[in-house]
Amino acid sequence: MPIKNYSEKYRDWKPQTVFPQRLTIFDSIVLTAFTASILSLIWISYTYTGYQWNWDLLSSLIVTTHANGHYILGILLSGVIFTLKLSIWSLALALFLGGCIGSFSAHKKGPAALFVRFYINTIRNIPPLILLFFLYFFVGDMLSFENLAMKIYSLPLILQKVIALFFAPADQFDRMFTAVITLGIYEGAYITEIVRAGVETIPRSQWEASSAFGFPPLMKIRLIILPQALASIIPTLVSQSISTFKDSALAAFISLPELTFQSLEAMVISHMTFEVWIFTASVYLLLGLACSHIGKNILSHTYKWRAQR
Amino acid sequence: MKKYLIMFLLILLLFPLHASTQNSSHSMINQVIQHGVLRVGVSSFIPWAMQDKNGEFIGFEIDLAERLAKDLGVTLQLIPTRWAGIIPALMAGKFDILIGGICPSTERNLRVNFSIPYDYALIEPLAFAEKTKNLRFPEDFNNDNIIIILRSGSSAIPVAKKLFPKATLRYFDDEAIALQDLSSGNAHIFLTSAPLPEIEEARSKGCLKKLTNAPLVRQPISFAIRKGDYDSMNVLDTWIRIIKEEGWLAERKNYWFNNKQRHK
Repeated sequence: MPIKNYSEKYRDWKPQTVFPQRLTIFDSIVLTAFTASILSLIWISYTYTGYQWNWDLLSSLIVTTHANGHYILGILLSGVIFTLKLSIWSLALALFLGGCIGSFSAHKKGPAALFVRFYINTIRNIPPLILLFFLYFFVGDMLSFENLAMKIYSLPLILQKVIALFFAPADQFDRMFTAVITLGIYEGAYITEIVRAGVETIPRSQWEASSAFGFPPLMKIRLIILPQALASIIPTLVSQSISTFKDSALAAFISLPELTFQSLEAMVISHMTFEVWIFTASVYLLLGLACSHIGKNILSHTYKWRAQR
Repeated sequence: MKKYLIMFLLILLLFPLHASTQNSSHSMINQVIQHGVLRVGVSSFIPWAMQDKNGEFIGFEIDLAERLAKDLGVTLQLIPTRWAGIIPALMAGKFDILIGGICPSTERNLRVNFSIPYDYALIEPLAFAEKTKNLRFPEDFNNDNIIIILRSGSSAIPVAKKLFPKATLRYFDDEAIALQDLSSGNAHIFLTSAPLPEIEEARSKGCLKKLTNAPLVRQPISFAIRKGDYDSMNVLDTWIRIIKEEGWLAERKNYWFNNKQRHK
């Protein structure tokens, strides 16, 4: 298939908009029902007497003032930052693993492919929480991850601060490390499949043509196959990234002070069950929306870039 | 097939390599002094250990941990841990000492070692007022339509099983979730440690009620460490005796438990 066809196909591509030009009757029925149910939910929750709402206290859990006057992070916001760090590192590891294994295992047979199948099938069929416990209690103990954390104390102070800022403070290091590894290999297994499937959609003739031009294997994938495969990979990849943000909540079970763990702590000290979980749910929602927005931008850049070729 | 078998055996060969990284069994206290860091596992439970609004840990057990680290001359590192996995986390070496309101039991003692008690927990019933106003305590509660909430793995479980064998027991990992379930009227009583029932009765404005002033049972609370480390055990036991004789322990207990203002 000549490359020219691809560029013509994607030249006029625009991201789809949610809001149509005109509303049909069906649209207005759905909109009315939706607004009515949201309003009634709010009304029910405010007339429900079994629970005392206390939104003011929530703000002090998000941002609070220190004794000497300046603002510091409350326990919930520090949890949000931990969640961000955990998700971004896990996602980076998952993309690296998935990208490498996925693109090189495409169209492959034999022992190497067998190992990839073994990795994907094992990881995908184990609940992530059990994988996390396995790594934290069993593997982490055998390889003594906590000695790693102890070594951080012997590093110069400035280096300790950098690690604390971008990864985790020394007292959380082994748990953060375990959580990143677990989420990385767990999401990595899915991303491997996404990338492999994406690469395999590219017709064999493209591989053959690039071989005929004498491209070495790495350049073949980087310059010919991946740019074409990205169009089908990115939308699925975005939804997998959103999953990574959500799955980071599992780290609460190994007591990493991320958003879910801090919300449980906030519940213990404040007893504001509803407010705390509404806040937590909205943060995860916002993170997911931000992720899909970034994905959409990358996708439209990919199309524009390809249309220019 | 033979090829894959060889590969499988090769993978198996990799495993013994890691066995050498296992810690040899030194005294935990010696290691703590050597590293200069004491890692203490805690679990949030008002007023034993909890976070204030700034995220700083405060509470009776936090005071104990701070004093212990100070007396050993090392820095304290608190490791807040989910209650459900706190003993496995100790056994896996995620922290050195567990100061988490753990009541010794023979079953637990087979997995970890306990110090002499530093305090006693009083198990008290907290009830959903509306559902229990016509019931007499404790005789009416041994009935199969009574639902009792317990924190899973807590020392109130054997108490509930002994006193109310007919009642339905429901377990929660978290104190806060258990309380929310009780306040929603999904259960009749929640058996938990004092002074929680008293605090919650005051806070809930009549929705929850402490049923009796006499605690159901009194249970010792101890530090837990990994098994077989008698040197560290002796250090901890002696330390507890010292702070008891000093009166410091009683003074801290009084500060956190009898001062009503602390709980607001």
